[in-house]
Amino acid sequence: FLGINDPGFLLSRHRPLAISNCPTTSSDDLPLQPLAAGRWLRFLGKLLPVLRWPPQACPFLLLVEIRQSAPAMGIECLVLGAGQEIGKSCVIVTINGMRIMFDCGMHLGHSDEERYPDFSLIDGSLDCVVITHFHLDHIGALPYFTEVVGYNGPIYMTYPTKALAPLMLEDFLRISVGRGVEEKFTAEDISACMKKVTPIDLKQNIQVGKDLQIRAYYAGHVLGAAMVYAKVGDASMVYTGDYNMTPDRHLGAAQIDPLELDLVITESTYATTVRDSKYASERKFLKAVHDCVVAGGKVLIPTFALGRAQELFILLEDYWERMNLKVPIYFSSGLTKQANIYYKTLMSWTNKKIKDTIALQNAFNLKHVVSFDRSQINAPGPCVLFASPGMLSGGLSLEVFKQWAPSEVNLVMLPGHCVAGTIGHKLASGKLTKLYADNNSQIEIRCKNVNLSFSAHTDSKGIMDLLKFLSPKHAMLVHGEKPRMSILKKKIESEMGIKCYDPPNGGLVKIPSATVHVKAQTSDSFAKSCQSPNFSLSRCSTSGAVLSTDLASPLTVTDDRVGEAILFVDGGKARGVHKDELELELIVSGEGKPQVVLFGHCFPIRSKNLTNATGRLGLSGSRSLLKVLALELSHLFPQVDVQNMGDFLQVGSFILSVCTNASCTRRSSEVPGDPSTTCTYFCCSWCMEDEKLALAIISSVRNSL
Amino acid sequence: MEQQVRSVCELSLDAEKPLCLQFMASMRSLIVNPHTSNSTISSTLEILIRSLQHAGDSPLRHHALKLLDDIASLRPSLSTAVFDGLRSSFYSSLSAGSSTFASEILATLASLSDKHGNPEIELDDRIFVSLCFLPSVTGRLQLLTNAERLGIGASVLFTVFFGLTKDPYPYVRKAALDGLAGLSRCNEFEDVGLIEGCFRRAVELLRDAEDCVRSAAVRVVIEWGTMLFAAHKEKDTMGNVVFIQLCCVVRDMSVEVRVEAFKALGKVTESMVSEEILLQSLSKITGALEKKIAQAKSSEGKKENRSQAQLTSRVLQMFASNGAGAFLHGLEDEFHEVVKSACCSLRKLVHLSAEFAAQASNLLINMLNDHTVAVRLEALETLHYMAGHGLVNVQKEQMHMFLGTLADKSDIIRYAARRTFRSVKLSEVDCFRSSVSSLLKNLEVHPQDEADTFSVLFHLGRNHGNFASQVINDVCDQLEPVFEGTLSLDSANTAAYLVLSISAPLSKDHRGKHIPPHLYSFAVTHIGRISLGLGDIMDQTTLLTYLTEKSISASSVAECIPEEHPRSPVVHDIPSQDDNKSNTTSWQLVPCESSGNIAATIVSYNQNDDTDILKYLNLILGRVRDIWLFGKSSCNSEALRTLSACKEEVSMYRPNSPESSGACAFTLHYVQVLAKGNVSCWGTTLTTRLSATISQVESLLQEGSMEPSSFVTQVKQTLNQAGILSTAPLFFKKLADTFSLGQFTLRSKITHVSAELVIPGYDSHHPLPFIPGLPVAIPVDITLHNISSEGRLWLSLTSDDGQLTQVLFLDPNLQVVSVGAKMKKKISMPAPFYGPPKVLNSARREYIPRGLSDNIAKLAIRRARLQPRETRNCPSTELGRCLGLLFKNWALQECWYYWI
Repeated sequence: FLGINDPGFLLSRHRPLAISNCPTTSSDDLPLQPLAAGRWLRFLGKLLPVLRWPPQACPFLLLVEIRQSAPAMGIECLVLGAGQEIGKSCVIVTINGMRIMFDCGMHLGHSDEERYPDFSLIDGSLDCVVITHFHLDHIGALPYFTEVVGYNGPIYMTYPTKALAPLMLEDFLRISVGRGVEEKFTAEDISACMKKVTPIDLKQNIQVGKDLQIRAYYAGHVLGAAMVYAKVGDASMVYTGDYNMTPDRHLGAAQIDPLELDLVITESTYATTVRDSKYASERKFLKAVHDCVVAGGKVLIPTFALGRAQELFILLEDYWERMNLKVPIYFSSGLTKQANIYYKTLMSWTNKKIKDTIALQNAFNLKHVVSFDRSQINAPGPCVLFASPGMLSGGLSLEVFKQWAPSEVNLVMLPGHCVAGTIGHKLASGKLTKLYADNNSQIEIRCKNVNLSFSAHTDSKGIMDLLKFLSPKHAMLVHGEKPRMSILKKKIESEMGIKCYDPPNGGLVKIPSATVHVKAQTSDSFAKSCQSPNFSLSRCSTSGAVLSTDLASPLTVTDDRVGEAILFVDGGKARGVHKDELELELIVSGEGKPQVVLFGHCFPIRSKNLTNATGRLGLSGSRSLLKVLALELSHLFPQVDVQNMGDFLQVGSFILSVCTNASCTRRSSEVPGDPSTTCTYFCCSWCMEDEKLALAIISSVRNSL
Repeated sequence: MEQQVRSVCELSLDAEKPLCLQFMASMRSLIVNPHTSNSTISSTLEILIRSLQHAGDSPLRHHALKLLDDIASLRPSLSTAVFDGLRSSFYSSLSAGSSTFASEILATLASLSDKHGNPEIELDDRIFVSLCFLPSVTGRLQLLTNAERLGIGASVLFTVFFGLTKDPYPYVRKAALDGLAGLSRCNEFEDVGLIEGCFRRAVELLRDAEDCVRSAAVRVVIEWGTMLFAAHKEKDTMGNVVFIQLCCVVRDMSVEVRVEAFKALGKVTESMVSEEILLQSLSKITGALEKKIAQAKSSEGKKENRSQAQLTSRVLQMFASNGAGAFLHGLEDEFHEVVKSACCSLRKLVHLSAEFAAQASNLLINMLNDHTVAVRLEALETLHYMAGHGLVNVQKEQMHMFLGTLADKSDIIRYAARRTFRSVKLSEVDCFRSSVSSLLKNLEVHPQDEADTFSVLFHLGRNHGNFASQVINDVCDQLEPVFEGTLSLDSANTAAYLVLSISAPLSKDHRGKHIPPHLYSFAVTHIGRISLGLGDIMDQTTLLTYLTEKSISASSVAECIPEEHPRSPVVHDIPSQDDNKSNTTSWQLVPCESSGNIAATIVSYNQNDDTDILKYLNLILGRVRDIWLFGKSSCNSEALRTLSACKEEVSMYRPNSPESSGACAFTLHYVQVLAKGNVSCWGTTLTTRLSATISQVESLLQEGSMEPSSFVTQVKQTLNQAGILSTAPLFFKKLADTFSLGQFTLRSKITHVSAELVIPGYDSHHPLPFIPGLPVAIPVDITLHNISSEGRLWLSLTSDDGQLTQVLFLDPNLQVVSVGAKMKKKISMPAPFYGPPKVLNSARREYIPRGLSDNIAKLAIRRARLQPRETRNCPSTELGRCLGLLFKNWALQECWYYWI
């Protein structure tokens, strides 16, 4: 049964009036010509959001949504990094001609050319760059891109990102220099680059040029992380960056408004992992640390200076405070010190709990956490030390590890995943028993080790939750491992019924359909009819609802006023009129002569039942098919007279025939189905007064074949 | 001023001009001023009502309505007039076609009828529906919000509400949904299709763009979902569907909706949701569920039950991808409101499944690590609730977390943690040990928590008697006072362990008996701090008695009491209490003794106190009978000691109700008299006393028309013979031998008639000064218990030397100062006492030193006693029949006289 949510019908003013069906789900080419040529469009549904406008603004504007394919309009995504991998996030998105770069990261696993995104693939100029957060795999290549490659346009990032990013970049540079690796940019480049950055606030509308609008939403993950909404004309999309759907100690959960979106590009780090309670891992962490220090041991926590370190600081600080522990907690990096100052001032970016208690105490005022001096490595007594880098890949954390590892009372706590090949990874997998110290002497590893995952990325359920909340028309996955991404991709496609892409680096994805909104003035009588309720209750056994039981026929309600108007487009101006006014409008536009409006529809049916009859469905074949149909219809609709006129069936003004004209104007696009069966088209037309009957017959024809 | 404004208003009305804003303002000032005369107000009211009808479409009508509302709320006497006026202007505005205003008036009417209890507005269904269909959105909104107060039929309301859930205006949709949620309570809908339609519409609106609509939809989903579950054929599926739909909402971006969703989840009842679905709401990991979906899918192929299987697999699929781990999400939420709401509904759902409760308690214990006090508190409260219902079983690996809360910095958390610990069940002795040591450590850090910690230790020990005695036996040596070193007796630790050892023998499982008795004597030295901690359980005296007895007696008593005759171990389990109750419940722990030993204790709980006390007293009476037999076999001193022990035992009760206090007093005297009777020597006055008693008994028996017992007859005969025979003592000895004490059982209520007399400021050391020859007013305070107002009393005052006795009649009806609860009256009056000078000379004990006045003497009263004037009332026949001779006599005395 064609109901309120069915797509609109186009009808032309010329005789015979062509009516085409515009399916919502298909992205294939749809006829926009009738509309452009100043024809009629009758539409159903999709008006709800518009009618939220106050009725006083009458005659108000209607926004009519027409799906169409226009080569010049649409979204095109070029993946420069983080395509089927984790690292160097960089996606170039062209929306209706405007080109945006989302993130400009570097890959830490490579030290060659692969480290940076391949900027040579960019064809033409960029309108802006948006950075989601300060992690190096999202911002690492920015100084190179601006100062070396020479991008000179606007760069947007949130305030915390702008504050913390230079710390990260400079620290990275320092470590590289320490290792003797020469980077493609210098400290001067970093500061020059940061000067070009425009900081933005959450939910602040930024107008870039005339057409592009961007807006940042809270993403959790790290301080200042944002999801970015971009809109050009009628096309809009969201690039999530990294995000977290569950709150942690210092950050809240991602928060976004319900938006009408064509595309969501989401990270998929944990495309297949479902994480259970965060409380459990916190408990394990604290118990391990507590047990160790109570026994007089030293705890080494190798971690990167920003992000998780602060999370663990707060966790331990809070625990120390509650349990009244006096054991010192050290952190080793100067970077952390400076970062903590920023964290303290950027309270508005933390979660609600921290904001609530700010009046009493700033959660980042760490009483128990003090900075570390190398001389304290072998000081007696228990302590907890946060040392960078994580994964024990070198630097102080490795140095301390070598000193502490031989003692059984000590503990090494690896708070995150360690990349294969690092000492951290070996330790976590239990394979490390001996280690060579600098002076070639051997160290026995006797200390305990615990590996816990404190991830700030959302898990697969979180990704699905966000996508379902936003319900975009297309989805795209980046920032994940290929096999997992394809599992998630399938899941999204099957559960949400939308197309999902997971392009590799260098891949180009074209989102063919974009949305066009037509602004239309309404006629007074339509506006008036919209104001008064006009609902009707009926009992019908609908299917497709979430819990159709087919056991009872539940009561349903329809309210025509919010769904029905007739759009009249003449000379580029659109007007929505009430259906009672249609005739009047026709007379006006038909230069005074009354015209009959015929609705038409040409629909395909794929059915195995028809295979023998179709293929070369001759005249006799179609006649016999119509005969069968006539018989069936007269059974189904005993109250009307079904006339078989040989070449067509007639019921009142409703006429149905088998359509052989490949370029039939009433024809809608192909319906998806088994391509091995051939399509048979049925063309029909009817007058307005028989509309309900016509729709009923069409649906029963569809069902019976 | 008042007159001026009034006349201006009237003038303006006469001129048929619409009111202007300025006049409205002056009117308002009149209305809000409490000194404005009533007549002015009523004329203002009239003007306003008239203005409503004449004002046309003026925007001022709205202000006029507000003013009328003000009048009704500030002058309740006029609210009816306002109501009537508004009603008439409602109909007039209806007929004038001004529908928006009509619905505005309706809204005011509805609020008035709410506030002042005015009669309901009986609105015609047709008018209501036509008003609803008008274009005005505000009007529609007001109508919907007040619809339930307008007396509209439920079916009409349903149609309107249901239809308007399609309204494009979100607030109208919300109001319609709220209306539907309200309608679910009226139980008028039985059509499954209708209910399902409403449910489905609400489910659709769970995806609405507006927060307020979504949260209203959640309420409708649970209300109508419950109805659908009740009405639908396929209950299992429907119940799960409702639960799952709600679980899918908990990830909403709006806090309000999430809170509402958890509230709704708490309303899910037992049979609605299957256990596996319930369990899955605690975990995001859906392994088990996926299997189930695969099963459901494979059974889709089968013909029978196909649609059912399809539905099941579809619903489960939806649950697996959206709803799984709903509670986990709720408990981890950033917003405290959501966490709170999730905890609240968890509290309700834990009763549905033991497995669910166990997993939920795991989750909650993990939450105890959260960094917000509010969240930790909420988790603890929930755990406390669950522990009260025996649903918390702490695992070893969780102990760390759980014990952490005992050492928390926040005292609210520590308090809540201890509250939880009182009722928690620990599975292993190690857990018990660590709990105790944590509590002790906490005691060191926070000495201010001592009292509460002791109380927790006591409860812990009672709950785990076995563990407690193990722990005590381990640390027993450390508890010995070492006088050479530091005085460890003072440490809180020792006191804490002693508390534990006190609690162990009182354990519910009767397994904590093996406590070295000398510990109790140590405990006596800590009595102050211990009793402070156990204040809610027993008072200091009780504790002291308990400790003394415990330390004297051998510890083997518990075993020597045969199980089939549990004379004393009447340890009542602490009933699982609700949060509200637990604060108000008072506990009494009364140690009791058997043959001088503490056998066990009674923990009486004041709710069912009476029957327990009766039971217990009967036990004592039984014991007394045994002693009587014992006494007859000439072990007099032994029997006496036991009797006096019994006496002490009974006197230790502090009954809460007058009934039990009567029974206690009776038993006490019963024992006392027995003790006397047992040792009384055969004096010369015996014959006279006996005959007096017998005559009293006879008169009593006559009143109760009862036959005298054989013993009474025998005594009578002996008395008659005693007058003649010289060998009377022999006869009496024989008589005493023939007497046997029957088992006396207290069955029904005994009223203890008694009075207390106090002469304020008087005792034998401070005699009352008076002038001989002049009457003196002696202030007396009399408290009467259970004395009816018909009974008349007399007060006799006897001077010190017994030479002067004066009697004063009291009419309780006249002199009562206050009547307390339960037949308790207080009389406070001056009693005149007059004695002639010569008598007083001998009566005075002290002379006022010369120099003041020879004539001033002091009066010492030897004995003041109250006696009833009438002695007609007698004890209940039931009681009389049970009494042996001696007791009857005593009972008679005691019921009437209470000596001070």
